[in-house]
Amino acid sequence: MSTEAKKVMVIGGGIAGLSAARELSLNGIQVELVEKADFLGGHAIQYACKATDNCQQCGACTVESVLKDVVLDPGIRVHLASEVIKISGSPRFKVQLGRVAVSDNDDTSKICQEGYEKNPVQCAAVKGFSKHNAIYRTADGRLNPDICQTADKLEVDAIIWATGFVPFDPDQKSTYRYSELANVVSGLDLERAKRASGSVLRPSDGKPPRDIAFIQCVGSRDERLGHLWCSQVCCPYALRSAMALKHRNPDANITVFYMDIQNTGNNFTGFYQQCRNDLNFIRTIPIDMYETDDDRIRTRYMSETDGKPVDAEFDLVVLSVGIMPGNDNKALADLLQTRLTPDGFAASTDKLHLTATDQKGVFLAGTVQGPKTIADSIAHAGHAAGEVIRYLRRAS
Amino acid sequence: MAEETIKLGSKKQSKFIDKVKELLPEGENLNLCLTCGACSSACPATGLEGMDPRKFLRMAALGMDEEITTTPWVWMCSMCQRCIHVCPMKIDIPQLVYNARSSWPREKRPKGILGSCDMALQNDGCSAMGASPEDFQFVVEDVLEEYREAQPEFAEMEAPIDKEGAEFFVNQNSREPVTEPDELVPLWKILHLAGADWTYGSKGWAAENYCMFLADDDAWKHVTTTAAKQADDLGCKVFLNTE
Amino acid sequence: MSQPNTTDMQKIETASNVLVLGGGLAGICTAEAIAAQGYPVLLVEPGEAVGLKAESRPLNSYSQSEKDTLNKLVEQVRSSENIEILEKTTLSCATGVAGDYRVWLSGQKPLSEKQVGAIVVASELIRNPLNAAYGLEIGGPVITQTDLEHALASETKKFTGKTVAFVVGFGQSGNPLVMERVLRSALELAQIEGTTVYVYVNDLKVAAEELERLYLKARDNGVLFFKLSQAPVIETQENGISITYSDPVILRDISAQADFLVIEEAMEADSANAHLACLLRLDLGSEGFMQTDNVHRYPVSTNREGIFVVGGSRQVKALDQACMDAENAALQVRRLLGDGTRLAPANKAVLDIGKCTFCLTCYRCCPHGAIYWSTENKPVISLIACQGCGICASECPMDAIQIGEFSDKAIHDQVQKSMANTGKAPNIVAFCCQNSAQEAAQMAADFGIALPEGLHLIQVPCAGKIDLDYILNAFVQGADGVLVMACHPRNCKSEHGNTYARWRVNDAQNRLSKAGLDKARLSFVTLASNMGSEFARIVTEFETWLRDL
Repeated sequence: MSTEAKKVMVIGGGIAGLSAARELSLNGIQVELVEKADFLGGHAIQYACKATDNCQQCGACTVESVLKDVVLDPGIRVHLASEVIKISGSPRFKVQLGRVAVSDNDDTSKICQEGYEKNPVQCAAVKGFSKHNAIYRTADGRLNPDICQTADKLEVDAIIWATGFVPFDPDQKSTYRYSELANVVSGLDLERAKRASGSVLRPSDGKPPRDIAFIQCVGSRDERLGHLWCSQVCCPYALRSAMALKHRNPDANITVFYMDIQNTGNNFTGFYQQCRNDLNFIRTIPIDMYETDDDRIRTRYMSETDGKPVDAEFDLVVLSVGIMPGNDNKALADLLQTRLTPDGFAASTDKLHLTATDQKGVFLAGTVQGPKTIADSIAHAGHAAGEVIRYLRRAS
Repeated sequence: MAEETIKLGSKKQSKFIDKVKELLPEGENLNLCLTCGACSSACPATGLEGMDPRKFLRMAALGMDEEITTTPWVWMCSMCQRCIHVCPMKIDIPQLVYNARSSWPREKRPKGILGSCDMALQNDGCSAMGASPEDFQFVVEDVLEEYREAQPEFAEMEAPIDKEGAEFFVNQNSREPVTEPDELVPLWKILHLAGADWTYGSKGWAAENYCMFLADDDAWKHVTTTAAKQADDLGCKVFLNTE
Repeated sequence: MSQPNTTDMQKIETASNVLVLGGGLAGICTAEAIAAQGYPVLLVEPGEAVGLKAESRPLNSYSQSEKDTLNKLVEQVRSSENIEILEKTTLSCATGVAGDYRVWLSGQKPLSEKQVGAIVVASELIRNPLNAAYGLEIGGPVITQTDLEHALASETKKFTGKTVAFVVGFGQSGNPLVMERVLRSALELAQIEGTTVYVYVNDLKVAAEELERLYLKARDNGVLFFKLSQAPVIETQENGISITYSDPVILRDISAQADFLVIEEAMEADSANAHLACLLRLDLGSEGFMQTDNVHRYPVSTNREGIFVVGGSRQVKALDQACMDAENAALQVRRLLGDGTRLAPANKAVLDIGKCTFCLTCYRCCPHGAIYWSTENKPVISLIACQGCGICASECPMDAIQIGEFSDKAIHDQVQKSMANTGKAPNIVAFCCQNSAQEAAQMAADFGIALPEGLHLIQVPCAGKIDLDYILNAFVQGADGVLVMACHPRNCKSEHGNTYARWRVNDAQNRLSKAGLDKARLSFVTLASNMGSEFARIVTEFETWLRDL
């Protein structure tokens, strides 16, 4: 087969980009993996394992494993803190890369500021969420351009667009007072904290929370915001997180506020039955969050049994934020000369070709095309890799 | 309320909600409720009279016209619109409430609101407290003079009534001139310091919306057109509604 | 860990053709994708014909051009020189391993034997009306979702001016595929003159592309949704159906009359999967699917190398997702079969035939079906199919199997060496599965978390490789405590390695008790590769406990 000498650029180093890159490389295609952030793994590498006594199939460990494979794969050249700024030519695309200034304002930097001097390797790992990302850093914790910024011009035969999503910004739902109240956190905050410390603690005082609320559909299924989609991942992550919390702390009293519970994957019926036994489900959405004198969060909702308003207090409120189209989607669609859907995700040609775009040689993988779980992102990425191989074969 | 089983008809019948939909430019979205309950969580009137916005909308959708046109809850809604603000579908529940109010016989509507609206209809001032244009003019002039003298830095301050060609037409809640005249002054000071060219109107000076809260469309139309006409007659460019 | 030397690699020839079982659209897509990668395909369908006839999903959600594409695809597969189609044919028997499966097919032609390099199972879903859940018989005003779809395709006048009620989510959890059918039909009905449409639903499963929009459109067209947590009470009457329920929003009892009641249908695994899984030595997953509930099988793998599952074989998948699976399966086939030869480390699992007593233990316990019986009546470990987990090696009563660099001797030596220079701190030997605990330990170290001074990590390919001997020997060598650290249940890459490890720990604990030792000195722990801080916590707590003894 004549794909040997071919080269493919994958834009985005999240679970979809990593999976696509790895599949292509395993099939003998050279890969240029371009990632805007200064670490590989995207959002998925920030998630924590949600096992109870049993694996709950969240897939977080599979991300770790694909990341490791990619990092060690000599057929994949990684460009971190890099972005595509120009594309010309066809069918062989000439690509120009630019460097992205890495923001030092994010949470991980805070951890690192405190610890760089003490343990630079640790910080490199924390900064990149996974130990596998440490390879891209020097001993003082900075990105090592000799390893991950070795080129600014590429020539490739095909492109996989896999830049993922942005989590919904909960400040857009102002009544939740996300930025204001320490004990109102997003699902992603919860994951990151758990990954870093292995446990979930109340941000205001570092004590284990007993009464915990999850609020579903924050930013999803919302016509007002123009978000007419179910994000597909929030019910799975909230229920698995809640069950893991309950397993760790059987005294925890966990409430899930929801509209409709979506399936979590295999054997949903059995899993959901357990959830129903261990968690409180309330089919309504609370709105206002108030702080009590002892740092708890008070909110109000309608009782399902008597229709009366109930005031409830929680130690921790978790907002299950949804999947939103990436901020760069428009710019990338222009660069790649392809389309977005009215929702702002990358448009595929039709339902039977979910990875194909209007542009020859440009394919989609993962949540850039629409909300997907880790499992579905991996499958979509494999589909994209397969389509790329077919395309290269036809082109040669 | 009797708790008998509600029967949903199997034939489409003209329902209250359908009439409202026809009336509203965006009324078509009254169907779109997800029953998520966000409105009820946010509504200050939730739970009063065993009612809440979600239940109210749902009853309307199910054609329970009898219940929604008779529940006194509609008079407890303050029309604050928080329900719209938090609704993922932007459903205009207050409009439904308004239409439910207007289906009440006028004399059955709450006495306080009813009396205030009726009072507003008594003279051209449209004051819900019955203050006439003359009373209003007297109070304004009296208070203005007092402050000009007491506070030399505001010696040039004005509070004109029926000044032709003024840019802003400003209305005024009756409570201040009638019971708290000193409270009129802060607004004047702001307008003065901002250098605004403004005026009250002798007609339609009162800013209260009781006829609207009463859902008495004709009366409300009378009140608003009186004020608007005065602003137009004076040649004002902007109507500054202070309520 | 050292990479195997290329001189130790063995070249293995693989058959280049692929068996695809199931000729619905998932099977069609798979056959096309595999043929496009250059491998001949044998497409086998138990029913009358491959293509739309064999497809279980309604296609009403697809546009005409998409349907045309599908028809074209079926035609293309039918006429492809690289694809042989056998209809009314089933698999009778299968033996062999990846790269060299032997399959026997029976059908129109007499039983025939074929050699194939890989197998892809593309079972269809089964539509199952759930009327029994409501205590109802199908007939008269009670119709199934399928009946309704047929009626909507041909005789919509039947519904003019009528009230139609749907019930969904009470006889099953449901899923987006089921929900899409209901939403589409409800919307179509609502657009017919004078209809009233009620949908009684538990959870609206809208976690798929465009479903939220479809739900909105249905509401916009006047479909009334009632979200109930329990099924309504349904009674058939002379002139229709009565539906009674307590409304959770207005908290009142409601009764409605309908002319038609549409009963939900499950889209579920084909019951034939169980037999097929047995023939192919696949572990069945939950709810009758042919992929275990194990994240390491994403997206289309099974416990056996060279056997892949797509679409309805592995989950309730919509057609677009089945197409995705098809392409993934084709990629996996390409990786497996390559250009007809494969290199594999010769020492992956080495059988000392002199020690073998032909007891079949290895054959039975291999989770990957990688061990077969040769024509010389000897066990053979396929170097392609073997995953090197070492479960067979540990289970073999004669210790006749050794795994690459994880030989019994190598592990004993490692334990002995680690005990050579010990300080005052309690000596802890932690046997760590390389897929989970070893990674977690590394993560803890990289994150700078302090670990006990006397902790000695012994890496194993899978917890299933941890012999009873290893554990007991660690105590003999001077360990104060031993940890056996495995993957969480259902997360083992070799399916049951952690279970074997747990059994052996139980066994060893009994022996420790008999020898007068506190059996808590031996502990079995499960964790994931990304649980660095949990790893540190577990080993530290264990050390504290040992110190306090």
